[in-house]
Amino acid sequence: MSTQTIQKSDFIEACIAAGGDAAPLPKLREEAAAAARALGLPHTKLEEWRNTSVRVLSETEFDHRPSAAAPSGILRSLPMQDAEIRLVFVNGRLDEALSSVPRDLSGAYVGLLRNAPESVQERLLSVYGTVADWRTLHFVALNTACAAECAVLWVPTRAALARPVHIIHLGVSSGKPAASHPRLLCMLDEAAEATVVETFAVPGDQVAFLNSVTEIKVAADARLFHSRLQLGSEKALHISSLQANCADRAKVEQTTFTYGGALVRNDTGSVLDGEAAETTLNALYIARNEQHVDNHTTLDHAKPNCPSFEMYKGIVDDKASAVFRGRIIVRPDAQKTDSKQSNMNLILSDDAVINSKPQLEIFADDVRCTHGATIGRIDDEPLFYLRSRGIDAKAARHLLTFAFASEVLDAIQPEQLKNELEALIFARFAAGDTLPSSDDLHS
Amino acid sequence: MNMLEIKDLHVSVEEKEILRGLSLSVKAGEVHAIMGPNGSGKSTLAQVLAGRDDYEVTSGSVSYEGEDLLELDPEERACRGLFLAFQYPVQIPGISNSYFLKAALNAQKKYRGEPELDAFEFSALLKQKAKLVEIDEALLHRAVNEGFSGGEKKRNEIFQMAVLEPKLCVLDETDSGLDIDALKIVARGVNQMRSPERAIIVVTHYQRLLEYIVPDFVHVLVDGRIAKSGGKELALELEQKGYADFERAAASV
Ligand SMILES: Nc1ncnc2c1ncn2[C@@H]1O[C@H](COP(=O)(O)OP(=O)(O)OP(=O)(O)O)[C@@H](O)[C@H]1O
Ligand SMILES: [Mg+2]
Repeated sequence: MSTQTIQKSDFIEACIAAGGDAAPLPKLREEAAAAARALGLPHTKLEEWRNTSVRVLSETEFDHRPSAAAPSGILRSLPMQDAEIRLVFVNGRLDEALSSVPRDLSGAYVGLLRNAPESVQERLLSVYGTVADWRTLHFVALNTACAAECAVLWVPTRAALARPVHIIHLGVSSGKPAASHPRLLCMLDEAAEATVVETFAVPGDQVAFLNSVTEIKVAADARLFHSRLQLGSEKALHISSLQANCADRAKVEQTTFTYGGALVRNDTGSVLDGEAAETTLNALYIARNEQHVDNHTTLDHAKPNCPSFEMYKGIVDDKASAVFRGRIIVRPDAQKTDSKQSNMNLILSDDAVINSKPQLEIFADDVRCTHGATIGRIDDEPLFYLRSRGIDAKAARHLLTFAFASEVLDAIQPEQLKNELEALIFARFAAGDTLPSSDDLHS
Repeated sequence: MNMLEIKDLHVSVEEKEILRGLSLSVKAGEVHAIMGPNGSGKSTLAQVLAGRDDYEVTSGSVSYEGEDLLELDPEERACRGLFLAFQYPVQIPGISNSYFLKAALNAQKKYRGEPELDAFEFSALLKQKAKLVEIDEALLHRAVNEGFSGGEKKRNEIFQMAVLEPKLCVLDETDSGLDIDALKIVARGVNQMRSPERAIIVVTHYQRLLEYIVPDFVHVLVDGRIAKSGGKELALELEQKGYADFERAAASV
């Protein structure tokens, strides 16, 4: 028992010792480091971590100052590779050669927090660390203590960034598995609009640990599309915390696409902190072999008249496992809340394990909250329908698996990303079938 | 040779016998109508022909073009020219109607060793057939049957049939739920497909459809058996008298 404690603190200490030299707000960093030390690593006796063990973190010897470069051609293996507005981080540090930020951004800023124009920087710093809760969340504390850099997207009042912004975080190991703590702050001022794709990828079958925090602060009437992609190595360790805060009538549409990773834990939340604010949290997780994907979501309705939508869908094969915990809080003030949650899991094997649980905490009386969860296999009826038209059983199964996923894909912005993910999934499930190409799906 | 030869077919579902010695012969070029009271086994027959495995064939035989149909997978039956227009077509969110049809048509052509259609030929074919059954082209790009009205679903079945050009068409109550204009359109679509090489079996409750699709034979299916067969005038007789006589006869067997 005691040796385990020492190992745990070793991991935290090693992270803290290595990280954060260029991070903003040294005082905040100190406090966060103290919090991270006090919290330690979560264990499975904690309700929030009951189904996910992070013991691998204390049992692995990480490289906390990884210096590996991005493998050549890595961008070409990712969706949205030609996004013109692009920041590429390798193990938490900006790779300027791979990044690209055009000059004219309609007044918006995309870059490092420490390089932000002075007037904006002050505001960004005042928000940094206030959206995601580093005081109680183990990995937010650790990230806040250790983040080497912070990427920023800021869009001023009434500006709209027409082109999507792609923030890419690569975890690249050479020798020992690399550990890094990517960080992004998205701040949209009143009535601003932007589309962000945040990709976390580990090349090949490398082991690397990415502990990310994304803070999203959206002012009144602003609108943000955010997609989080977890791609690449199925041996990677992804821990990702995303927290949004929405002011009056602000709108956040967030989609998480999980494909890579041996261990994936996403804590995704939004506070509907203004009247008629709206948040959509969607996800598609696809797991096989022994992949484990844990999604914890929290929609916190703090003000009246806010709709929220949540659609989490998973396709789980082999001995893979998936966890969904969907918490919906409706505070006393939040009358006329309208919240819809669903978690649907398609299992492709006998050994797949699903653990799904809604958690409603409702303190207002005039609210509508619906939730539902399903765990099932491909239905016989549509399967027979496809076969009765001449499509063989295997291809029909694959097509229906793809169809199950497409509902989440349909909501993804931009269109290009949607199409690329669709092709990726289609290739995964329908490879080798004699089905028309995925290009024909929308013809 | 008969295209379809059903001999003394017994079919059960969940221990309950539904078809109880059904025999039927259909030649290429013929149109057969099957009528019968609710629950008499019409859809069961249609589904068994298409290869649904929820139904257990306990005895009897079905041969199609001289081969044992019951030995074939549903997709093989389709590829060899059997088509079932479902009484209750299912919706398939996430797959567009046109993609679905392309997948189906290509699979069938591949099975038969025919060249697949290229994108241009396929879209021309869809347009032509859509016109034939007067189906709104917007429906082709929507997910299969998703949010389709009852009538649209039925029309979509006939549209699929027109595209796939099967040899043996089984229409299970395609007329129910159709308004009178849609009924005429569907009937016209079916009539255009009548040919010496093709056989059609229509399951219906209404004599009205048979005014538009005039059958060569009418069969009355009661309690899992063909109780009577005749010409098109049998449908008129049923319209007037109902099934009471046949049900009494079946009960006394
Ligand atoms: N999967 C099933 N499980 C249990 N019973 C079934 C099943 N399918 C059919 N049956 C039963 O078999 C009988 C015949 O059903 P079938 O659908 O073939 O009748 P039908 O002649 O098509 O009737 P309708 O005119 O109402 O469409 C009914 O009593 C029905 O309840
Ligand atoms: Mg029926």
